[in-house]
Amino acid sequence: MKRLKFLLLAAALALALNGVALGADVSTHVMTFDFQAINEIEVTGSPNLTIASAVAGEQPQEVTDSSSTCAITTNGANKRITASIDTAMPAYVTLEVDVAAPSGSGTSQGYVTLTTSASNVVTGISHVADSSPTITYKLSATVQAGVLSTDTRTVTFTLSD
Amino acid sequence: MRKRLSTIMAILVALSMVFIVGPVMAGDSDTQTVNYAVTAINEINIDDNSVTLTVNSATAGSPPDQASDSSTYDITTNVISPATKKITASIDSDMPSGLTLQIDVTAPSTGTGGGAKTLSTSAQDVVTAISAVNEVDISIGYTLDATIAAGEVSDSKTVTLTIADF
Repeated sequence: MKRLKFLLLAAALALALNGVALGADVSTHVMTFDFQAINEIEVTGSPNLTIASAVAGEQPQEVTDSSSTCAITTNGANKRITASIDTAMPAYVTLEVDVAAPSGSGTSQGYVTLTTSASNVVTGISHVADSSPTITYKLSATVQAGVLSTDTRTVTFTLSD
Repeated sequence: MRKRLSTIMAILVALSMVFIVGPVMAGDSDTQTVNYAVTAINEINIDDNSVTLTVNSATAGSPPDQASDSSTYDITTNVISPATKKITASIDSDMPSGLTLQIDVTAPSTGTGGGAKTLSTSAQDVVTAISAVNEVDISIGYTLDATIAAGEVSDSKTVTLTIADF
């Protein structure tokens, strides 16, 4: 009895929701999909750069660190990654970053000098999810920079239009 | 009745579900700390492996003629004023009696040359007050003087140039 009541109820609901005449074998309802913008970027790694050598007669030798990665997910089109630092580098010292483009999407800008103004490091990114793009930092200094104790800079990476 | 209403509500919820993948906030930017440093760098290199000085002539009645030769060196230092560096020079063992070996090291653009210095086993300042510089092919001059008392001699000495604090 209970089962019969349930079946009758289900049928009644189907009719009520769909407005179909009694006896129809096809029923429809509207499913609304709304995929909104997803833009996620996450940077991992603790890069360390120390200039400690030179060939006699030449400027100090630059150093690089490729231990960081940049995970990215976007369902948008033609996105870009920009990078900036919180404080300008000391005089005669240059910090550069090279961010690899995600697999199959985007164009890396190669080594870009980091300043307090955001600069494009990867452009033309569309519909991608990749956790492996490598971030390479390069530090260079002239002799005029002198000896610098360990210091830090905070690099901000932003995924945007 | 209650069960029927519950069933109705459950079905209504299931059939009217709207699928939404909402925006994920606060994930379109991330930061990273970069650690950096520059250590003290002091590099000097003499470009020629050897120089040769041969005293083999004289004007009658005068001591043997002086012999000379030259070389060059390269230097890099990142010391910043007020701190400065110097270059010292020495030989590994004393010259034979009657022979005098001198060196004259030209200063880089940021230092002061000390002129001709007689080489001995004690390090002597040949260039002083050097500050941050990187230069190549800077001149080194050698002279050898001999008295007739030195006789005939064939030998070698190792000259060492060192960057040190001034």
